[in-house]
Amino acid sequence: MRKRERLLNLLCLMWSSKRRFTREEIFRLMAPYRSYANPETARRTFERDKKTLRQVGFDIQTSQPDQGPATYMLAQPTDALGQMELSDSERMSLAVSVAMVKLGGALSVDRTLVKLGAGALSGMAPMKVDMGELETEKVGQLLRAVQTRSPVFFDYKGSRRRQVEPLRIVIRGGQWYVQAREEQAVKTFRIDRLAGLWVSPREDMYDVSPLGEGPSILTAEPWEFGEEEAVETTVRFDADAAWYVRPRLPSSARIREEVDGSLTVSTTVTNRAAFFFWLLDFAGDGEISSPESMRRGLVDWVKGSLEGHKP
Amino acid sequence: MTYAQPMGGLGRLLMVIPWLIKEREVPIGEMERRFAIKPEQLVKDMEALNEVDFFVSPEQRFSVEITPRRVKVLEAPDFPSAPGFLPFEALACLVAAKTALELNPEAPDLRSAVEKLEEAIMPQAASPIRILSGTGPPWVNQLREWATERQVVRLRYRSTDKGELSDRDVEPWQVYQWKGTWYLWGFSRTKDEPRRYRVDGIQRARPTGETFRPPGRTPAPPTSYQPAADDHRMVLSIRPESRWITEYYSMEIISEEPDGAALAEFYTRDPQVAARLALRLGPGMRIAEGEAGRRELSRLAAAVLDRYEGRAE
Repeated sequence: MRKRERLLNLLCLMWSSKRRFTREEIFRLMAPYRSYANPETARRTFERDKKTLRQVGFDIQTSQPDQGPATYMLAQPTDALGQMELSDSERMSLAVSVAMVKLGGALSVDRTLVKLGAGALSGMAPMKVDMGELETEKVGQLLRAVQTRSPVFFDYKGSRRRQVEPLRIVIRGGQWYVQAREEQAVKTFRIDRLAGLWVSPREDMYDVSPLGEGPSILTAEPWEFGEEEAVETTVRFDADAAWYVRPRLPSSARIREEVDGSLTVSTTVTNRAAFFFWLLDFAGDGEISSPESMRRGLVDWVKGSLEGHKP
Repeated sequence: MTYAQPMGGLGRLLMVIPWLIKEREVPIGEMERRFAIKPEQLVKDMEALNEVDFFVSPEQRFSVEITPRRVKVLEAPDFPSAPGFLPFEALACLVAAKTALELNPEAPDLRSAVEKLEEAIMPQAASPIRILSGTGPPWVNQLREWATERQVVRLRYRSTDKGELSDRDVEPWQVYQWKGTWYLWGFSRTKDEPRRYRVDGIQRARPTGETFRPPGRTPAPPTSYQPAADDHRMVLSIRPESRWITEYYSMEIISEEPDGAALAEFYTRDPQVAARLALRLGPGMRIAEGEAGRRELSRLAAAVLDRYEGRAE
């Protein structure tokens, strides 16, 4: 029995029956697995076949109940994608985007292009966007949890095991995060730091829609979510540096362009160390105008940088 | 036509079959375009399929008729639909589309495709995927076009480390985004070596009117700092509250204290890089070894103090 024939039949079996199979059932229905004299060889062949099907883009899900054997099902969780009714130009727009954006991890761009109906594209522009390492298994689990509104459990940075309700996937600066509700508070977790991720089989356990933006480490600047007393701080940036500074200003800042082209920028600081770190990147381009306490604080900070270097 | 990296034979077949069964009859050209498969390979695949015995549904067989122009399914097992995206594929597709949309906000087809994709992935969630990045710098699309046209460009560029403006003639190879920042990667005619430039450090850019021939194999853009033989070596003493910088700068921890403080080895072409880092971190970091770095730090600090106090300390 050729591998190709065995795999096509396994796929046909699982695809045409939208139900779960135990391995024994599959072996009973498929002679190639039964033909092995050694059951261990049959088992290993089946494991390899599942892996192959996953590698080429089929989502074979395994479920291990508390009692009884594991079951397998060919999931069609994104059936809705087939009903999107994309126009040809929309489909090609997506295909070009996929070809342009380089994602780390196990994503096969070619396979995605094929599924979009664009296996061959002409004259791609020389641009790559590296969105960081995509941990496909974890991201897939979390995405499915958001879709089914199922709580997830994981260990995080050595803390106690946590139970959260995933709400959204966020990518910032090549880093992948999940925003999730934990004990009524929306928190943000780096996906690469989640260990022992497990998705509850219970569905429709929470509501994902009322996700307010609120303060978040993902949308605020580091100096905006400290625990120090808030200080409204104003910085004046020189006119000749305005073009360089402006795109680097946080979206929350209040910006006024002066007649001479300089920028007056106001922001709320609750973490001085983070603010000075940011501001001193423009060391020669700007100066704190007010309050005086922040001016003194910056001077002390700069003197502090020299402290350890004095003989 | 440019072919994507071809999928393996089996992977290709597993993609082709369900789609073919659904469509029943398709032009060979369409299969060639969709699956990046050459016609002669397609014929071989189809002939191989005719030999497959679908014993799990013995009432059905798979047979196709191939003409020079079309492939027609005569008999086939009952496959309900063509394969959809796996969850992470759908996510990756959405990420790619949203990133492209950020650069081309006026693209109506892409915008409507993103809306449909988002709705299909999570119908009830408000914006299930967010990509937070700086505003797409104005030069990205223009630089990409010049790179495509192989036009030499003159950049008025502000160096990240020194904050100095200068003109550089560059052969642009590629525009890319890494860790949320856009870069231009190319050959600097001014420096006579490959260089990368932060796109948000470009004040002005224009073609010089010259074109260039790119190397046969363009080197991949750097994603981390590669020390050169004549780099300055520094040892940085980093306090616990500043340890986070070791994740963002290329440096190697050489010793650690129980309280979380660390000594790190840091190589740089320009000592001002370490000096600027020490200035920004204030008491959180000290240049333990590297006289050139210390001198630069003193100079930078004096300039800031002069601005605030009207005198150098």
